[in-house]
Amino acid sequence: MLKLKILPQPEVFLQLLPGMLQAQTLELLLGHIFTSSRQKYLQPISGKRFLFRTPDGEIELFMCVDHLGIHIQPHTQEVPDVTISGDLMALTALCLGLEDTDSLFFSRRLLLTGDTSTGLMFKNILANLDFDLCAELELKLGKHTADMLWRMATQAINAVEFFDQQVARAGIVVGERFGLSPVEKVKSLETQLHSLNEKHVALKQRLERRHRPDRAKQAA
Amino acid sequence: MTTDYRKPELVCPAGNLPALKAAVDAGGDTVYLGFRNASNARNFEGLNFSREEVEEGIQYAHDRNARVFVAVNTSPGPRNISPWTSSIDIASELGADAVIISDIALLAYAKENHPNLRRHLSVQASAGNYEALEFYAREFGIQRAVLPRILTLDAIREICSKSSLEIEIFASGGLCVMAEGRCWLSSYITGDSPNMNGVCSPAHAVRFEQENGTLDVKLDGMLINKFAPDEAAAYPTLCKGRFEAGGKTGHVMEAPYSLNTLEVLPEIFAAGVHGLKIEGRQRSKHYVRSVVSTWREAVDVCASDPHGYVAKKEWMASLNATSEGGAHTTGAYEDDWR
Amino acid sequence: MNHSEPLPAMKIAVGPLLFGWPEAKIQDFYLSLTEESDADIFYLGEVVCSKRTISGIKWQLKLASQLQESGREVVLSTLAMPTTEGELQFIRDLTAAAGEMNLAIEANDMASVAVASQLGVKFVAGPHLNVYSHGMLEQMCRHGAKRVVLPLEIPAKDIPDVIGQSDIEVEYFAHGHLPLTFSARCYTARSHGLSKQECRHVCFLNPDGIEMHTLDDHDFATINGTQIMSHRPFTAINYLAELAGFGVRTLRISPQASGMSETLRHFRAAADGAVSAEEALQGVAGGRNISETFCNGYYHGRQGRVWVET
Repeated sequence: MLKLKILPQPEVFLQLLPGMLQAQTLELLLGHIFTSSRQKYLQPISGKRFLFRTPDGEIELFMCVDHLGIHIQPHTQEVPDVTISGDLMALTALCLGLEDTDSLFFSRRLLLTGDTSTGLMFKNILANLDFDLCAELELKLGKHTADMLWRMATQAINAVEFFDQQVARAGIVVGERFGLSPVEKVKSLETQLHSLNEKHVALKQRLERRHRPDRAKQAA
Repeated sequence: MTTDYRKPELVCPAGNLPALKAAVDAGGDTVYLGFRNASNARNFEGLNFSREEVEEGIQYAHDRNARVFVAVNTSPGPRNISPWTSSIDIASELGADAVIISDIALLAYAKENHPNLRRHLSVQASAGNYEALEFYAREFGIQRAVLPRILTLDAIREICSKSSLEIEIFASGGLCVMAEGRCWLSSYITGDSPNMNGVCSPAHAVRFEQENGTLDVKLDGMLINKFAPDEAAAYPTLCKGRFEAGGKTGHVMEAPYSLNTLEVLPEIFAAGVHGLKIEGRQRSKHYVRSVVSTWREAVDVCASDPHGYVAKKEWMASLNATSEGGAHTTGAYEDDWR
Repeated sequence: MNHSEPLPAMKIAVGPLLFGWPEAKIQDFYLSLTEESDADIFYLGEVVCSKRTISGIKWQLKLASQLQESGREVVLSTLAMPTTEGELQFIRDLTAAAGEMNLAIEANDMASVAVASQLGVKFVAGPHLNVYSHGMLEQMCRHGAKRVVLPLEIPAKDIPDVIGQSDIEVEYFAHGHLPLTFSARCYTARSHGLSKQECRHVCFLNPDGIEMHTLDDHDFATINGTQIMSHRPFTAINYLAELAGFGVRTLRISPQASGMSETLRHFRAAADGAVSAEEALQGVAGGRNISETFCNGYYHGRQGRVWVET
């Protein structure tokens, strides 16, 4: 079993989780992002329906926004106003404001079809939120939530490992679904967790620097 | 004769508060922004600042010795001028360091009502020669002008030497190949223009469609671009679309490259430019942080040794990684582009 | 529209030739219009590209005085995007000459406004000076404008508010390919595989520009050197009574290689109330399908390229 002491970044959790859990986790995270104090920002997209999907159609999450906030569910018969397609990393980067979304569009990792205005509005609402999600999860929600998310992730990893053992015992080779064997998949995720942790540490350092008032200015 | 090199300030984009903070933290000298209405040329859905956000942004920047310019750079129509004049009033009240204006009537308003607020001429005024600039200086007391992206470095040098004004040029980001303020391509197809509505290719007219990896871009129902499965995509602007003309199909006007002047930085320093503008108020804080950091380093390196300065490969790669079309050009600054 | 109602007197102006033609062709074009039309105003001079002004200003001044002799008002148009000292000097020389000939210039850049107001020469504020509001109009008047040409994209219903109480003459771009934009790059040269530096004046080979279509075969634009124009000609010939009511006193017809004198005749007839709006529209269409030939979206505050039925 993997033994990681760090809190990995949210998109890694999502990648680790099966469909239903992904929807729940994304809802949990977006729910946290749009807590009551920030829910007013959703007003311009109230009543709009979004579909997030991976290009292979493997994952589809349906999101609707109403006066109560954001609701996410897998599978739906409803026709969305906007469909946002991309790999899971790109989708979560958009939703959680982790990367420059225009760059993801230019590099063809993210595509917005349907009502472009609503899609752009959603993107800019998220980009306008002035907070550090990871820091909030850790600092504000406290250890409990972080631990809970972490437990979900490790359970998922354990499940994959268990599945892998069962598969090995049965002498069947699967894993083409990911282009990797389940063990390799877990290992690659482990590597990603480490590299993301490094990024996370760097970000924290930057944050600390930012709060130092005596930032040296370059005089022209 | 020795050349004088002026180290220009970095004027950085912010479409929201997180981007403003990122620009300041990454070493931007100045941030430019606009209010959330048609008074500025990036009037996109969900972008720009409320009064409270401008107030917080100015506080944040001033606490860290950075400046804030407020763009009020579209033309008010004939009826309701108040979103424009109140933007200028609020900018003044909140202590903005300058307003960036294109419309003469608004310049006159700002001069009369807020004489102590610095007035900069927006690129949207399409003033590309010193005669026009001196006119704006004489009549409306502007202190700085942002030049259109259609000039050569020689022309910029001449303007800097002959004009009494501070000169700001675009250094990085989206490349308008047309004279801004004199381009009606967007309204011809979509009904909305930068001059009147603060938008080029407004989102309401844009549709992306992808089939078998090929991305079609439609503007008000007209196919204006097609990207192959592995090709870098670009913004849905007409000037960078693919069309058919004279029996040939392709980028008739301009390929979707971004402007990048890192390689000609010593020449820009030698021209005596006061401000280097980074385009991209529509971009995220991540883009702003990355691009401003790169430019901060490049400008500092060039200032310390303009003769020995060479644009580093990693700077170029870093800018390309986030740029439209994934590639760059020095645009009109070098003659062979024309 | 009842064509027996008298309209306020409307002047017909031949706008500056926006395409690149050889000198002899330009001369023939304008001189023949003095005979074949009763246009009131002739705008004369290069607006788009200084490389087309190779012959200097003398021949242009000579042509201007010939046009003057025919009893018409002549206005010397200036470059829209001057960026070099040579181009500024060209504007200064032309403006000074206009002053000596007691002519106005058409200012298409603030540099021309500056030069004209310094030299005390009257000017027409051209369509690229962006007079979108009454405030802008007043500023132009204050600096010596004798007439203002409205921006192309302005909705017609906004015109009365732009004019306000001002008694300045207002001109409306009423017919022709819309000059949509200017660049530093020459797209005609580019389409011939050349650069602007070594353009060999290839625009002279394309007297009506080069057509540009979308990939799905919608008509879109016309390449005219450093300028992109609408592929469809705009026309407001069927709205002259309304325009007169809005305060427009001059109608600009933008030159094109063929059919110019016929277009001017139809406009004159419509402006004089001699034919109905519909007859005039059919006249300029000359048998072509109107909604597939012309555009008038800007008139209605819509997409410029569309045709809106009355």
